Amino acid sequence: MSKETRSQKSYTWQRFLEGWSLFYENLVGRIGLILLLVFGLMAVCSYIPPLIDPMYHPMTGVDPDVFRSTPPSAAHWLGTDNIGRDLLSQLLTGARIAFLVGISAAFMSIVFGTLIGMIAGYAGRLTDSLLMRFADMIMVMPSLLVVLLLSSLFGQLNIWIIVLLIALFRWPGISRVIRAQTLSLKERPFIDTARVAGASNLRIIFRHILPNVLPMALLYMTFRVTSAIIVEAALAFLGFGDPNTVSWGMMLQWVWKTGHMFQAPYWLLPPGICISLITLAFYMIGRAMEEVLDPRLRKEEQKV
Amino acid sequence: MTLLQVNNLSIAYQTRTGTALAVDDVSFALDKGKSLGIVGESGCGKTTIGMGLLRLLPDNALIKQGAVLFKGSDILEFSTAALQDLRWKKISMIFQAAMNAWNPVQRVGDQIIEAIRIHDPGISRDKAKLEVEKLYEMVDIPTNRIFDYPHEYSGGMKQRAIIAMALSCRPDLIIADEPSTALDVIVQDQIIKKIKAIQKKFNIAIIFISHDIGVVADVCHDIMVMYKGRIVETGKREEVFVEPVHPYTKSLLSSYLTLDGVLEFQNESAPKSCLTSTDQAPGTCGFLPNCPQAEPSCASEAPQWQAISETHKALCRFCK
Amino acid sequence: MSSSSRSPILQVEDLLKTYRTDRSLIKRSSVKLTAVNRISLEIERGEFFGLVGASGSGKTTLGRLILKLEPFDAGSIRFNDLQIHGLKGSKLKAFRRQIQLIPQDPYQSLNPYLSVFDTIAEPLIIHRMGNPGERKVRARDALEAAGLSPADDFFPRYPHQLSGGQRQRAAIARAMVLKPEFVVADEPTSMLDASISFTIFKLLSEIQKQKKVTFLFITHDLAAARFLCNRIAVINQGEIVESGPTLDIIENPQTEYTKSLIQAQPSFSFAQKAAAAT
Repeated sequence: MSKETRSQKSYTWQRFLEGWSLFYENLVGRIGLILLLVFGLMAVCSYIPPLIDPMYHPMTGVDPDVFRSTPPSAAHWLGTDNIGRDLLSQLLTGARIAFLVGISAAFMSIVFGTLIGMIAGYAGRLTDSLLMRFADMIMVMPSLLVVLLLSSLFGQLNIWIIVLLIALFRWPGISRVIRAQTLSLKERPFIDTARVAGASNLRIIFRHILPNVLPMALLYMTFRVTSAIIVEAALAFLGFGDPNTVSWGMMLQWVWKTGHMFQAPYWLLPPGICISLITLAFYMIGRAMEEVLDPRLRKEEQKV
Repeated sequence: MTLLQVNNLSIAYQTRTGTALAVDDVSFALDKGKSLGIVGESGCGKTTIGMGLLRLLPDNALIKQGAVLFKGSDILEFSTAALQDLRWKKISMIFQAAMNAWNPVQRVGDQIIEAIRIHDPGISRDKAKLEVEKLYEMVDIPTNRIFDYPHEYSGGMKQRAIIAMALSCRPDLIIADEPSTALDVIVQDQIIKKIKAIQKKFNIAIIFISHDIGVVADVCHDIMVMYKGRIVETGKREEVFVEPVHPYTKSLLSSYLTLDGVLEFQNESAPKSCLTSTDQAPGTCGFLPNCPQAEPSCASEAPQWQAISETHKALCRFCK
Repeated sequence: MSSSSRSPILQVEDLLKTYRTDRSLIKRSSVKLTAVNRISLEIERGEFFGLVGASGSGKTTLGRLILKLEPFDAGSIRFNDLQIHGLKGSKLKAFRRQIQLIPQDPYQSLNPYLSVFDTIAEPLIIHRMGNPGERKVRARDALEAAGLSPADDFFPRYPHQLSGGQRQRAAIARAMVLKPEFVVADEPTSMLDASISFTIFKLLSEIQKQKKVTFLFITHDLAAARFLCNRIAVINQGEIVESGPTLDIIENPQTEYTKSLIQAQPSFSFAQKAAAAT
């Protein structure tokens, strides 16, 4: 009975479980995951401080007793900024924004990249050349510079526009990888048998190619999260962030702008460390996933 | 004179789910200049034996017991340096996909010369080149192709160049693991003929591993049939292939197609074993679930070696 | 109806297929490789026809052209008196229902993400045949006819949970589920051990006898062709060098190439000699 129920689980699920056990054995992956869980906890907790007292609201809450930046105290565990806002609640909200920006931008670029990559690889010929040259053009554009130009033209950008722009600049790398995979999948005999059975191109792409490239797409998503978070932080630090959100980049910008760079390490260090650690966490998870997906990187090879 | 003697060799693989015994208590001996064929289906452990003899096993393999005596000294006890000296010089190997092992950015001749000079630094480049020319003549590749790149060779030529390289240090023993499997019939035939001729000419011993009984029967004097990690029948090729006694050997032969039809050794309508593998005690015959002549006692008692003639033996309780 | 049953099911005439290989980017020169060079052949309804040749002889290409997986340069292929060149829409779909493929490598020929049931039922879904219940019945029949029974045990499995022989049986079931008239089997056992190959061959010949299906069996192994086919064609460098009844060709080859193929076949000559002596 147990054997039957096991085999009834889909291949995707089986691969996930198998991959998970390999992933869990990987120290790098485990550290990354623990770090990520800590940040996830921070993001969830960011809703709590404003409920305790409105003065803990990261954006609008101001401690009436504080008139300049103060170091950590009992009321403000990480201290306050120059107008008396609580740094801990800002840091927690920053985690939420980092997840939001990172994951949604990465997800969007994965959707674009996978679709375009599969179409280019499967169609071949002119379609392939056109799409790939287009991808090359976007890939060589200095994305940060273009976003800076756009935001200086249109004033302050909304956080969702920033997410969309990051996604639009970050799909070409993924589509190259997916295209390469599609090219090799296209030659596999099961695509031939599907065509002989009369399957349409759409059916072949979505039923036969998509599931096979999805693991690779998810792997690239973790790397894209990293780059999206960094781009958003850079934009915010340079003053082109969304002024209505509290991100870690924004916090750094405020430290800089108010001249507290060297006066308030309690203000400068936490967002800086958080940016480094969250990108490191996603990167570590990506590396561990890569090892799970690519047997050549695995240390022990099972061969009988 | 015994060149290689293997005693009670057992090799296991450690996987994430446990250990799997790939080679189970295998013993055999090989005389100088003789050829031994190991036949079996994929996964029966025949490749593992070949790798184990040269200690080229992957990291997760474990030699559980046994000894591999080459000219009287145990290879399993060798130091890494002694092992390096043994490989290629005394024992060389031809792998299944060896033709894909050429470095694509180096000329084939340079690769062979390098191999010669690594094992014998005293030889000058020019002398080594002469040596390569001799080797190429031996394997029927025009000598003006020596300094071509691997992609300029056909598949059969690449494999013959591998044979030339295996011969370069004049070894006493060559282990050939499916040397012709990826090639088509005509090229396969050329390779087999070459191996046979060279074996005769230089009196080199060969261990020939293949799933293709026709090829093995063509090359080898002695045959070992392997099933699930154990040797089940061994003897001269005339004994094993003309008068097989083990039920597995019979079933293997009865499914081999030749140009004259199927080799008929066994009544096809023979009843399948009614015993299921679940009531089998550990250590009993692995072929039991498929054996047409099994008896209930096979499920509880381990199979015994039965001698049919001086050279012909089978691991079965009922073979005569 | 009676006329179509007398005419050959497949007629290939003067078929030509070349591949272009671009040698370099700088020189715009390209080399033409002729994979199929003016081949003509006819396959009768209900026969087991073998196409025998070494690797690179063009045998697989010919199979792909007949399956309309690739376009050809000149000549014609007629299936049931229907020109397959330029077939589109519903006519193409009808053609696809009648001709199926059993591919070479069972480890690559099944989509690893589809269960055995999904794999076998897919052709039925594509051709909108039956409701889900009827599909299950037809898939079950096909799988059990291919020797994997009880089918319900195998339906939920995925390719990696099957052995090589079982995978090839699943691939055969998938090819047979549409009840095609014509099946191209492209070296269906080249990746399998001899003993498993033999059971697959027996299955194919059983299917051919029971279902009256026409087979085009592509192989490099004359012995396998000898076992299965009533007629063979020997192909070398894109050309058919010899064709006729299988036994005639093996016993009395007319061309040097066929002779060399026969000679290269490993034989048990010593065994037969010894057996004759006793």
